[in-house]
Amino acid sequence: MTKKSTLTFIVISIIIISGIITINLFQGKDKIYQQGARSNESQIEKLEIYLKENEEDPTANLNLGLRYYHDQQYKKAISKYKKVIELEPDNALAWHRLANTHVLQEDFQKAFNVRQKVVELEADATSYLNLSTLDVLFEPSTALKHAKIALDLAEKSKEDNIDYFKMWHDALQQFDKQQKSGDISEGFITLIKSEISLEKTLLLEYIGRALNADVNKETENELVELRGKIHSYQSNILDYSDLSSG
Amino acid sequence: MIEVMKIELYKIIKSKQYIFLVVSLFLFIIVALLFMFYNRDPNEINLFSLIYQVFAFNSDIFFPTVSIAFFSSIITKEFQDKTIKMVIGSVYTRQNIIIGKFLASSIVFSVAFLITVLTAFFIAYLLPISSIIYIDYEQLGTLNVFGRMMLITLSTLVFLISFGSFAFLVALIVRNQGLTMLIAIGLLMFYILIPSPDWLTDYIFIGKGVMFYTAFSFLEIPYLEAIKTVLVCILYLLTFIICSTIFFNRFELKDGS
Amino acid sequence: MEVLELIDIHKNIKSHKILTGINLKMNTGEIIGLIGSNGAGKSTLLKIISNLLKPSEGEVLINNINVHDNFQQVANEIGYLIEEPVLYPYLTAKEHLHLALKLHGKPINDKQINSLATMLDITPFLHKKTKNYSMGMKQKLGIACAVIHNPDIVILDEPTNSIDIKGINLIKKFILQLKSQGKLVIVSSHLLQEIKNICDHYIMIENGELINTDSLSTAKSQQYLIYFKETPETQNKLEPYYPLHKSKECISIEISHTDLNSTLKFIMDNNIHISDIEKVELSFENFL
Repeated sequence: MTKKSTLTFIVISIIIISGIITINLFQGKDKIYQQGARSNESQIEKLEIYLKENEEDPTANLNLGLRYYHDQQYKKAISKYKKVIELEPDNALAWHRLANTHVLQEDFQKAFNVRQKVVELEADATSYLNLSTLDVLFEPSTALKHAKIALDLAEKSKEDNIDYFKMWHDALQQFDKQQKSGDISEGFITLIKSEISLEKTLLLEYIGRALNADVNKETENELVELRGKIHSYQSNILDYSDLSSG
Repeated sequence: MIEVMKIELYKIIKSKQYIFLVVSLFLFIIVALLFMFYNRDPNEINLFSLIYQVFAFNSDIFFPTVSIAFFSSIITKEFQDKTIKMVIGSVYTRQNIIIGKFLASSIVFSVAFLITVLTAFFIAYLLPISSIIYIDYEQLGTLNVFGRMMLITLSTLVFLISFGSFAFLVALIVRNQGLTMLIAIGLLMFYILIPSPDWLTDYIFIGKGVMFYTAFSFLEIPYLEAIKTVLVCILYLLTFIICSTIFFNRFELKDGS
Repeated sequence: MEVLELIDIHKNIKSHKILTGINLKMNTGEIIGLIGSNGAGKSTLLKIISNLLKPSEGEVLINNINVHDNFQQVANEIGYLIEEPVLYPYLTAKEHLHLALKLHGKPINDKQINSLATMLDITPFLHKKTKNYSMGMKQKLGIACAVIHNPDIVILDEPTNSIDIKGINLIKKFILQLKSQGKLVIVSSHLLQEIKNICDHYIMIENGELINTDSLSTAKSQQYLIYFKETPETQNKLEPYYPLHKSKECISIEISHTDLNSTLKFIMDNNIHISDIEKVELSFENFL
């Protein structure tokens, strides 16, 4: 090797090494590999700092709301979604996430009202399906109607998962019949076993409603066992197959 | 150096060595893309997560293996055909020959890699994808996702070329394709299977693919960490090339080789 | 004009002394024949002159420039074909000649390529890939690649290998043409009688040493002939390792005195019965 190229190599190496050292000094100790689990917290910190200066940024507020939601800080999440709605009253995503948060807070009445607002703003299949999951608690008679609209919209927009909407529609048809024949607990059990993904809190509410009605001992035991399983389940959203598969 | 690079590019193109490279990259990238797409619930897939999956599927083992095979074949083929005799009798210094060969291989590798990733991106773009997970794709927009994909691609490319420079050095020393692949892939597997201490992982060039696709999947990209890793890879790359030139300068043609 | 000088060249590989104290001076416009038995160090010497090997001691000067320190300065002065032609199987002859010119930093000159191809009779194959060539064709193309950049010194190691009589005459003519252009041509061949008429001088190497070039005709090399009774078993044991000469009811092998010990050990180890050993002194003429 010539002297010139040796010198060039040494100079470039020194520049690179000093670059790495500088980055290390700036960066602190967190490594990217370890950040996976902590990324939500650090993102919350970063977004909070950002929002101090840019309070009126709806996207950042919406993002922070979602981060709080994943961090189970539901009150803070709700305040962020409300802020977005204040800034952009027609932001359907903000309304949708607000409803999700209310459901996890077990505040189903508020969630129901918000879901109705979502349907007004964004009348798509998913919005109607979500609304019908709460209809059964407050206005059982409209649940099937909304599920039918959801199915029609899904077919119209050629959604890939039409079967999913159909499954929920069929379950509600069954539910409707059972309600009309006074078989309330069986109706809720039908919904629970429909294999539709639902919020943990909503499934527990369905079980509660079923238990409140007249049930035989065997069904009661089954529902209590199911409730135990749901409580021990980690995720916020689950369906019956998750539980039955253990 | 530029002249040697041109000659080497001419040889790579004439020998059609790039075909194996393009075919294997296409196989790994496009097949992984379609496999990921059809094996998952379409509701869980978005453009970015699909690209992310392709890199997550390939970056640890498959891409480095392709890089090792390509870069080492450039050297070992020359020894196997004994044509190295012709090259070292030229007016160019051995240092220029090695650097020129390396640059030509890097250019061909980069072009093949970029073309394959871009093709994958456009295929992914045409697939019917929807919904939101991990990163809110609706909020990011296609351009942002494209930008992130290019950043992953470029930084992964630096990592893969640094792997290539390692294969280059090993190939020069052992002059046997199979043995070079065995050593380089063996080292890769050793690193993957045996956990190394935390303070070391930051400063080793192996297994850096995971760093890049993880970094660029965060909503707020940790640029500093990514730049640092790229710099570490470049430092290794330079060291391997310098070692290769030193070794090649001392190289003597033994009987029968 | 003196163009090549070897000063006290030694080459050791591990503990083996391959070459010891070679001193030589060669001029342009000469054809030098390099002779010596197999393993005498001919190829090693040619590789050292071509910078494919570095000497353990000593210097090779081309136009007073040290080859091993400044090869790039003299790379255009030297062209070689050593051991066997090295060719890229995926390139045609023409592409090889282009490549050889590019490697020597010279512009592509199709006129020069065509006239060289005519001289070496490779014109019909100019556009065919070399992977389909016969050994003779490869050899001719190898020679063409060695001289395309117009070097002052041309080194040809076994240039007549695998070439038919017609081809040998063609190459002889070509070597003479190189001489007439004022080049120094160093030729080595194990069948030196094929080119004996064209050489101006001969250099003989035996056991890594240069035999006095001034008194070549009196130079001697010791060889041994070992005779065995011809049986299939003896033949099978010896055949993979030694070229066998057959005569009436007996077979013999010919070895240099450096190989005597190892050969005898081999014979003892394999329980081969020796009929007779004969010591022969080969003079320079024996090679011609």
